[in-house]
Amino acid sequence: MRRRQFIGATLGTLVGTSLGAAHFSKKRHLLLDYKDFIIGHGSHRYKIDLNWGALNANFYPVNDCHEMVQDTRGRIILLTNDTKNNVIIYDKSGKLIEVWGTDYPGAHGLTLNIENGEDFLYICDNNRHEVIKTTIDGQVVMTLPWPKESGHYEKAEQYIPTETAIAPNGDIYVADGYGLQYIMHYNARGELQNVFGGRGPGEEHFDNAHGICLDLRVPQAPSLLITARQQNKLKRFSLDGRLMSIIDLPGAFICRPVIHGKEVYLATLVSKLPWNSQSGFVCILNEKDQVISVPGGSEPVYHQNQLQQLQQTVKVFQHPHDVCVDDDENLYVAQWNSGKTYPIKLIRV
Amino acid sequence: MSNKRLVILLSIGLLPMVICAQDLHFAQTGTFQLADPIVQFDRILFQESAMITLDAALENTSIFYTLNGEDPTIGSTLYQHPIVLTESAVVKVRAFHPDCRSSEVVSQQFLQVKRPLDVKKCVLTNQPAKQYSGQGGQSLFDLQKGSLDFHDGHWLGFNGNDLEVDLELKEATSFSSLTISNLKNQSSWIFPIRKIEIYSSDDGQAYTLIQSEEYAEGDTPFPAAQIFKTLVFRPVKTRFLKIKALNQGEIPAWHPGAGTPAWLFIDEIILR
Repeated sequence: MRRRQFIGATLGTLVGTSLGAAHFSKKRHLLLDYKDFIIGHGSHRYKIDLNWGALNANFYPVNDCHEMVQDTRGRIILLTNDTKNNVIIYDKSGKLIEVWGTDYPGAHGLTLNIENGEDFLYICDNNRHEVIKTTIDGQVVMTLPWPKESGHYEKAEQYIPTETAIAPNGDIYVADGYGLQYIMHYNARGELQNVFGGRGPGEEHFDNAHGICLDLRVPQAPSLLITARQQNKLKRFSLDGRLMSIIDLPGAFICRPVIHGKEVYLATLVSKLPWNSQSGFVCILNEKDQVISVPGGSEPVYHQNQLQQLQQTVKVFQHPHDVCVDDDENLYVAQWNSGKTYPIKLIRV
Repeated sequence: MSNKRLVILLSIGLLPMVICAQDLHFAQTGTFQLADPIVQFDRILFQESAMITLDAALENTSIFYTLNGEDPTIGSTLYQHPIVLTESAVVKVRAFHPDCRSSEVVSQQFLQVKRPLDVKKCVLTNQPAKQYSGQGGQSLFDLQKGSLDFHDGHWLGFNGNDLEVDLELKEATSFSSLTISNLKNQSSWIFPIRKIEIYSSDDGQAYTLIQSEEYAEGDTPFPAAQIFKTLVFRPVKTRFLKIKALNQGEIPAWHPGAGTPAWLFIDEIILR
């Protein structure tokens, strides 16, 4: 792979120098003039490691790489919908540690929660129409089936959960992002407490409630951040399901919000422009809900407090579906429908 | 050879390899392709003029374009201010950046239509899907183009079935070309026209085929675009016309929607 890249780069140079027009004629010497390509803006800029985590696909295949988290031991956990190994565990350098999971054909959402010092995973399975809680090594602890008791659903097929978020008291929120767009609120024992959202014309409704997370950055005022992907919006709700505010991200079909430190990170599946191409980028928002960096996309510009439309600028990503931020502030980008590629690592500069 | 000399020689020999290894750990400049430049315009069908703006949203990017159908190179016209067209043209655009591979060529056809058609009556044999029904058959002759956003209310969308329209004009008119404006967007299950047929009639009952043409491009993936399909034929003077644009039918095997009905999106029919 690296060797191929090297040859590609060399050929690129030859072609590049032979073009020769004034605008591009900055002369390049073979190899030495090539430099690390950097994406992102301001304080959040990254080098790109395209080879991170690449495995022999005959033994450890991936289909869609849907989501990733880092566990308390510092390992990077990838969820894919290939049932040969739904969960692939790496170290930060991309070395394989272990794999498990063959029962999650619709593996989509992956959330890590620490309960009494132990790591647990919450997996949303689109095909099974349920949420499964497991230990870090894959023992099933609890299953949340389709929420018949909510009164909103007639059959399992209507319920296609995409993401969970776990509150500090153990309450579980489930976003039915590919189903009827409701947000289910359970207590830690899995008893349904509340339902909100759903499809509809109001701002409190969703079109593709694809991701959800707990925002504990202001400790005295915890809230939920929920994606409305088709609407290019991130919506803030109280824990009891009241709409509080809306963050507009024009042009960005965002997946789930991930909070790390003061920032919110969002993989963006496609950009509105160029229209519906295999585009996409990563968005990073500061604690004031302003976009500060868009790796792979256009520099965020605000006119009178309105974010101008974001768009892909360089084809680094193909349908980014999730971003995991590790304890070194580096990013791992898992991609959907990208030709079964392994995640891309971004190293902060 | 002394050990010391061997070590020095080896070190010199290994040096470039070490440099290579370091250099190539991260993706280098020249690895990635620029995204397609954004082509925006006030109208695709125009009577007087159309204005086009181009944008790449990345610093140090230069956009070059042509109006003669050739693929742009860095020897083509550099985009500096909005382009104003006063006659039909195909605008081809490509972006260049010193650290990236040049973008794909983005192409958009613009068509001058001097007069709208005088339609007395138009009847659609198959009804479009409710959510993509525009203003019904009238939408096809209003010179109001849809955009790449197929929800914009200008497009008629047919799920699995064909567009078939019977036209009665206010008076017999002479034509020698038919253009159908079509949306391609396979990632939204929207496929291009498979075949076009145009018929004329003296009485609105018995129709004779004037011309037909078949297209094979549904078989391969392509980026979303608005395209025109034009048929040119010997001049025909008539008051009654039947126009068919055939759907791909089933989505082909390579597509994630294989086997399900393809969408067909049409927003304008132009007879000249």
